[in-house]
Amino acid sequence: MRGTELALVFFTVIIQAAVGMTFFFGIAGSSAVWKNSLAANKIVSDKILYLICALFTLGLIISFLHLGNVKNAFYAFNNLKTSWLSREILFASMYGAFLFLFTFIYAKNLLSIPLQNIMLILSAAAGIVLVFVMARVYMIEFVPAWNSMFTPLNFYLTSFIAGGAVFIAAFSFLLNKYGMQGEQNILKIMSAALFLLILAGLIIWLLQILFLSNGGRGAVDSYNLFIQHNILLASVRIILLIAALILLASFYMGLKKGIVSVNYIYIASAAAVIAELAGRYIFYFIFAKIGV
Amino acid sequence: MSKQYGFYVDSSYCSGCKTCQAACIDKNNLDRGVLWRRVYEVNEGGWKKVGNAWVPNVIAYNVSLSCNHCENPLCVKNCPTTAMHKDSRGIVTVDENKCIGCRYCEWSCPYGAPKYNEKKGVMSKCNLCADFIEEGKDPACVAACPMRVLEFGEMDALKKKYGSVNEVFPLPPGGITKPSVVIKPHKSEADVKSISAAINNREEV
Repeated sequence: MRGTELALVFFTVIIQAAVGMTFFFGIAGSSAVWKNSLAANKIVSDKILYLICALFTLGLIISFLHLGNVKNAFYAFNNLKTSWLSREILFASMYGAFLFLFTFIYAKNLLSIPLQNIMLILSAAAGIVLVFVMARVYMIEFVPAWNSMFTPLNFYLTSFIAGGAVFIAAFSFLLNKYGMQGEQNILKIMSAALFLLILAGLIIWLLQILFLSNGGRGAVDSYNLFIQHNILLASVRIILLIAALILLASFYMGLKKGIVSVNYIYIASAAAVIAELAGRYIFYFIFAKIGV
Repeated sequence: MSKQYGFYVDSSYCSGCKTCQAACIDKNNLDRGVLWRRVYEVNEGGWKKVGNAWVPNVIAYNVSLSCNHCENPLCVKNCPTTAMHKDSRGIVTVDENKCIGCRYCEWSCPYGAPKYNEKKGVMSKCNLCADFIEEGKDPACVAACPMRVLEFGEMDALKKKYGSVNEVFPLPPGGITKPSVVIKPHKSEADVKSISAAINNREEV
């Protein structure tokens, strides 16, 4: 794997996590967490939005590291007609624009709540389209390991797993810091959702490997790259995901008894994010073409 | 597009001497490791029993390949900047002034044609020796081949003369990109599946 692809590992996971966090922000909003007029709630929600914006900006900066000639970057919009990469850049710009605009309006409380919600929905919708377009970039006809429905499926799962993990960790940290009470229901819902997403992600990823092993030319080459070079990293990824599942289950059970074990959430979230980065590293590593 | 130039490759007689590679490097002043034309060495084999005797059961042939200047090039389709484009002679070429060096064309091309220029941070590739063509000369690789297994010309004429085979192992099916190349397969190419051959100079190409 080249260094430029390492930049793509971080770029894709970070941008997808920002999209996932936007969704979790919306879920928290619809669960009346942000609607509460307590000043502390506003502090928490503002900070989470700033975190999403910071993640997006970081992802955007990293994306430039995989370019050999940044000064021509402006031309990247030239081929919207046929290039998914051009479209990815367009939708990343759109998502970023909506996200920053929404954050500004929300933080400054500039518009009515319904209009703020519309902005949030637009940001989330642009994010969802962006993740699909990102996946399409990799669905190249002669690369069987990438050219399947597993690519968009895994990209969406990364969005919600990494985004959900960062969101729930930040949310727990801020609730803890500002001493807000009575938000255990939302933590319960989110930890359960994250548990199910991680479980689904793990099963789908294993199915994809099975699919590769039974594929034709190109797919088998990818499978061999996986077996020969990535078994250790894959094992680490599986262990991290299982650890995250156990910790999330323990956290959830604790909440039922009224105990908020935030350390469990921090470790589970870190494990989930590292596992997603490992998964994306493997995704790029097993690139193999039908052809030469 | 008025015409489409392409190559004819006689794999059945290619000796794998790589003079075409060397001529290409020399003509285009390519950096070490950057090969616009590559010779893929395909070989594998063992022994098989015929009656009471063990006889060699091997395949060994070479495929000399550059950019095929496809009719439907995925590198052009996927290039975000339109730096990768096809001109009126059917030559797929890179505009260095637009290329961002994202290397998406490298992923997209099933023939491994676009090569990254580390010094400039942009892609580079075979341009069919466009300057030679203007002068009425053959591309450097064709002119240099001592076995005369490479030929250059308009695709219609090449197809008329040599047929339309454009996919031999290890090349991909030609249906999607429609490569501008006609290949005469080596006789042992037919046994590729039964002997599970592979490219044996991967590190070189």
